[in-house]
Amino acid sequence: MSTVDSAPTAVRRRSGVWHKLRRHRLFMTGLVLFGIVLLLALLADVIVQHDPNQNNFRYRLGEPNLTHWLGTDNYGRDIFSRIAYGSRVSLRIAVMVVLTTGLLGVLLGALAGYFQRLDNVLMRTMDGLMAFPGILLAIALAAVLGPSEINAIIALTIAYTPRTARIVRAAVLVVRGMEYVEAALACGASHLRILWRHILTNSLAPLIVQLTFIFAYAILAEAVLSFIGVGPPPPTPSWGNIIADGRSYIPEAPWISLFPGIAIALTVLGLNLLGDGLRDVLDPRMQVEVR
Amino acid sequence: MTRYILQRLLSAIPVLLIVSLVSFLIIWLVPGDAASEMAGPTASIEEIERVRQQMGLDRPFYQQLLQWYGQLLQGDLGHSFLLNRSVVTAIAERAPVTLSLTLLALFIMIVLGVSSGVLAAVRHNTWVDQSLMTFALLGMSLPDFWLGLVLIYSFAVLLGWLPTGGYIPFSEDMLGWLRTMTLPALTLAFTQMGLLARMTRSSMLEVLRQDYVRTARAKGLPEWLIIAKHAFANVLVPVVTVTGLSVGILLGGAVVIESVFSLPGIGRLIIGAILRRDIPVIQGGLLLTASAFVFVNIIVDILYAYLDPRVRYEHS
Amino acid sequence: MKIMRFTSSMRGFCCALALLSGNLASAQNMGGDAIMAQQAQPPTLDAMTTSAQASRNINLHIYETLFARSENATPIPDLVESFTLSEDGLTYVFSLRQGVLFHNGKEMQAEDVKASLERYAKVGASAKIMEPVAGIEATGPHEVTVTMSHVVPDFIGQLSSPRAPAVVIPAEEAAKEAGKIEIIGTGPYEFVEYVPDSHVKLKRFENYSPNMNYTERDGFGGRKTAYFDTITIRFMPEGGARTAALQTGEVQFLEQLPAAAAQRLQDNPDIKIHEMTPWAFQTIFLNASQAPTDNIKVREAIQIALNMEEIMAISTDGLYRLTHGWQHPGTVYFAGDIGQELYNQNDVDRAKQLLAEAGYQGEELVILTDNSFKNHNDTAVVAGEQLKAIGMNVSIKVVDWPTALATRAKPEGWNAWTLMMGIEPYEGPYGVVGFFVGDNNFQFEKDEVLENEYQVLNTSLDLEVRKQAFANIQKRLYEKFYAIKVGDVGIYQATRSNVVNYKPYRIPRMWDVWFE
Repeated sequence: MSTVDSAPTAVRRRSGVWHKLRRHRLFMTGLVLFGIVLLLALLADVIVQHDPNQNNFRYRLGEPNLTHWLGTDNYGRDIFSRIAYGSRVSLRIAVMVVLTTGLLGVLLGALAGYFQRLDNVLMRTMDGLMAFPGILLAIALAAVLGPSEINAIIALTIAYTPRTARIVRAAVLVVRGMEYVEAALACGASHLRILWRHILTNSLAPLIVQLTFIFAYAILAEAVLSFIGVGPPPPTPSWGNIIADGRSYIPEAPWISLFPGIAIALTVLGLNLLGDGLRDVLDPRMQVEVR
Repeated sequence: MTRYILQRLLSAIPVLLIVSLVSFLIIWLVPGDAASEMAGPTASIEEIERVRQQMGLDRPFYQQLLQWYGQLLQGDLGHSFLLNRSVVTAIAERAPVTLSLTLLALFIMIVLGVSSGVLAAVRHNTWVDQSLMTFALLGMSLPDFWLGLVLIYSFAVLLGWLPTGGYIPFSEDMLGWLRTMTLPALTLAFTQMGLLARMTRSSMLEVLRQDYVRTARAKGLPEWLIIAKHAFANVLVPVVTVTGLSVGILLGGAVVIESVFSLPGIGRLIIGAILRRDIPVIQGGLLLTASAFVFVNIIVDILYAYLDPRVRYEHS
Repeated sequence: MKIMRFTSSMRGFCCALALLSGNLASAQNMGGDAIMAQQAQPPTLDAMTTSAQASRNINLHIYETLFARSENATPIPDLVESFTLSEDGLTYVFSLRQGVLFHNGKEMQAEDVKASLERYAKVGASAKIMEPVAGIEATGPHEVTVTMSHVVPDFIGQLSSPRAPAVVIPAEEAAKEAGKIEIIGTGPYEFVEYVPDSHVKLKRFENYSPNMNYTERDGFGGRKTAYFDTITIRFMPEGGARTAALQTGEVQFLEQLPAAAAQRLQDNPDIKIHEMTPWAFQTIFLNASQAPTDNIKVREAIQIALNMEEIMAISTDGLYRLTHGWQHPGTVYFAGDIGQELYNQNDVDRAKQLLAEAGYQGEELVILTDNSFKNHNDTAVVAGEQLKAIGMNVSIKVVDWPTALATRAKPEGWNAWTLMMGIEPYEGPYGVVGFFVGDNNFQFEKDEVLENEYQVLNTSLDLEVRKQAFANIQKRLYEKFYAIKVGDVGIYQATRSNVVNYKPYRIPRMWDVWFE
C-alpha cells in the first residue's frame, strides 16, 4: 500500500500555492474586487439606508444625490440599495450554479473518463448540449421552466455542466493512465476509492479554474436571463432586473441601468482575474476556456 | 486528408441526433400556447379554442415527434402558425441579418484581437502590453446587452452619429447597412475579442522565443520582417480556433443583441418565438443554430488539420 | 358712402385673398413616404381573425367595414350607404355604396359582403356577435339583408367595432381559411409587403372610392383621403429606439411615445406630441374561486388598501386620470358617482381590519402579470408592495403575455391579474361587462345580478333602461369586488413637426395627413 500513499496528491502541492498567488498581482486585484462585492452582499443590511423595494412616486427618476447615492428608478426606489441587495441575488444564483455544475460535472466527467463504456454515450450527449450556444439554451430552458431563481439555477446548470464534465473527463483520462492508479487497481482498491482518492484530487486544479470562470459566466448569464425577463421575478432586485427596469428610461435616467452594469463588470472582472491567477499558479498548461 | 474529413463528418451524426432530439424535447415542455397569442390580447376562451383547432395544435405528443423526424429527413422544419410561412423560409429571410452581423463582428474581432495580441506580444511586459490585456479582459467581463445599451446611449442618443437600431439590407444601401450594423457588431466583437487577443499574444510570445527567430534576429533582419514572416504565420492557429469557438458565442450573443438593436435576425426570431410560443420556429431555430455550430467546428477542425498536419495523424 | 362700400368690398376681397392664400399655404401635399414605428409586429393581417392592436394599426388602413366608429366612438355608416331596421328589430337591410373598388380592381358587391360576414361568423375573433344572425342574403347587387333570431340592440355597434373588425373582403378570399387570404380590402392604402420582424409596407390605392356622404374624416370612417405615396410600419420592440428614431427623423409617426420621453421632448421643435386621455382602463381582476380572494372580505380589503394615485403615477409615468367608473366620463353609459366612496382609499387600518374579519392567515396572494406590457407589470409591482403593507403574503408571477392569458383562463394558480383594457371601454359597456358575465367570466363566480342586468343591456330597445342596467352593474361591481378599477390611462402619440393635420385616435391614422 505504500506506493498508493506516496502518490502526488493535490494536498502536497498546495503548500506553495498561496505563497505564489499572493505574489500574483492580477490575482490579488481580482481578490480585492471580488472581496468588495462579497462584503457588499454580506453587509447589505448594515450599509443600506433604504428598503430596496420601497416605492415612492414623488421621487421617481431622481438623479444621484446625497440621500440616494446612485439615484432612484421609475418606482422611486433607491438604486444603491437595489444593487447592494442585488449582489446577494446574483451571488446566490452564481454560487448555486457553481456548486451544482461542479457536482454534476465531476460525476458525469468521472464516469465518462473512468468507465469507457459510458464514455461515448455521455460525451456525445454533452457534445450535443454544447452545440447550442450556452446562453440560448439557458434562455429557452428558463422560459420553459418559468421565471424564478431556482429555475435560473437549473437552466444555467444544464447549460454549463457539459463544459465542466468535459474538463473533468480530460483530467481523469490523463491521471487514469498513470502508473500509480494502475498500481492501486492491482492492489485491489475499489473503483470508488480510486476515483475519489486519486483521480478527483488530481483533477481538482483544472476544475477549480473552470469553476471560477463558470462563476463569472453565471453572473453574466443571470443578468441576461433577468434582462430578457426569464430570471427571478420583480420586484426582486437582481442586477439584470435593475438594468431591464432602467432600459425604458435610458435618455431620462441613464443611472438606473448604468450602475448595475458597472457592478456586474467589476464582479466578473474580479472573477476573471482570480481565474487567470489560479490557472497561472495551479495549472499553467491549461488552455483558456470559453463560455 | 479526405479520410480525416470523412471521419470528422461521420462523428457529427450522433451529435446532430442529440441536437435534434433536444430541440424537440425542450419545446414539448413549453407551457402556454400559440393559439391565445394568435387570437389577440383580450380574446375569450372560445376564440382561443377556435384558433387552436384551426391551427392543429391539439395532436398527441408521439404524433408530433414522428412528424418532426419525418419532416427533418425531407429538410422541412415545419410551418410557423404565427408567421404564416414555412420555418425554413422564415429563417432564410432573417439569415442575411444574422450572418452579416456575425461576419462583421468576426471581422472586427479578428482585426482588433489579432493586432492587439501581436502588439502586446511585441511590447511584452510594457505598459502597452498591460493596458491592452486589461482592456481585453475588461471586454470579456462586460455584459454584452448592457454594453449595447451604453453604446446606444453614447453614439445614438447623445451624439446622434448612428441610428439606435433597425436594419437596412446590404443590397439596398451599403452605407446604411454599415451604419445600422456598426454598433451591434462592435458590441459583439468587443466582448469576444479579449479571448483572441490573449491567445494571439501567448502564441506570439511562444514563437518569439523560438530558436529560428533568435537566429533571424542575430542575422540582423529588421524586427517587423521577423514578425511578419515567422511569427504571424503562427497566429493563424489561434485565429482559427477562436473563430470556431466564437461562432457559437456570437450566435448566442446575437440573440440578445439583435433585440437590443431591433435587428430582424434569427436571434430575434427565436426569442420572439419563445415568447410567443411559436413552436416550430423555436425547434427549427435551435436546431439550425446548433447545427451551424457543429458544422463550423468541423470546418475549423479541417482547417486546423491543414495548418498543423500533426492533428490528422494523431486522429487516424 | 361709395368709398365705404368700396373699402368694405375691398376688405372682402382681401379676406378672400387671405383665405385663399391661407388655403394655399396649408394646401394638402400629395406624396411622400411616411414611416410609423410600433412596438409589436402583427400576428396576422387577416383582419377578422385578430384583435391585436399591432394588426389593427395596419389593417384599418387596408380594409373597411360596413359601419365604422366616429371620432367620439359612435357607429356611422362606412361601406353602407343607408340601412333600415324593421319594426320588430329583427331585419336589417343594408344598401351598399356603389362603385367601391377592391384593391384587385373588382367592385364590391352584395355577394362579397355576404361572404365576408359569413366568414366572420366562422373565423372572426369576435365571432359571437354573429350568433344571433339567422340569415344573410344578397337581396340585390348592392343590397344585403340580415335577419336576426332575436333583438340585439347593439348589433350595429358590434359590426362597427374596430376590435377585431368585421371587414369586407372579396368573396373569393372569404372562402379561404384564417390566415390564408390575399391581403385585399377597399381601404385608402393597399398592401405591398410584410417582412416579419421588420416592417409592413402599404401604398396609396389610386382607385380608392372615398365616402362622399361626409366632408371630412371621422373616427375610422368619414371621407378619407390618402396623401402619402407609401406608408411603412416598422416594428421596433425597444421603446428607447422608437423615441430616438422619431428624434432623428427616421420615422415620422409613433404609435405611442413613452410619457417620460414626452416630458423630455415637449419643447423639441421637431416633434409634435398629441395626448389621448383617456386611452384605456387600468384594472386588476380578482379570482373569486381561489383562496384567499374567494373571500369577499379579502377582496374588499384589497380595494380599500390600494393607493390608486401611486399605482397610476408609476405605471403611466404620470399620464393618468383617477376615475372610479367602469365607463369613461362623458360617454352615454357613464354611471356617475356609484362606487366613488370606495375608490382610492389607501386605508391601511381599515384594510387590516377587513383582513382580520376575513380570518386571513397569511395565505399566498398570487398576482399574475406579464412583461409584455409595462403598465401591467408596474401595476402588479406597486400594488403588490401596497398589499404587503397590510400584511398580505404577496408573490408576483411574471410570465409572457400568451402564458398570462392561458394562466388567467384557469381557476387555479392566480388571485389577481393586471389588465389594461383599451378597446372595450372605447366600444361602450358591452365589452367591459362581458368580462364579468357568462360561463367564462373572468372572476370565476357567476353572479345573478350581473347576469340579469347584462340580459337587460342585450335585449332592451330603450336606451334609458339600458343605462340603468349598466349603473346597476357598476354598483354590483363595487359590492362584490370582482375587479378593481385603478384608473384611466392616457397615451401620447407623436409625429414629426412637418406632419400636418394629424389628430390622435385609436390608431395613428395615415389618411388626411400630409407632409408640409
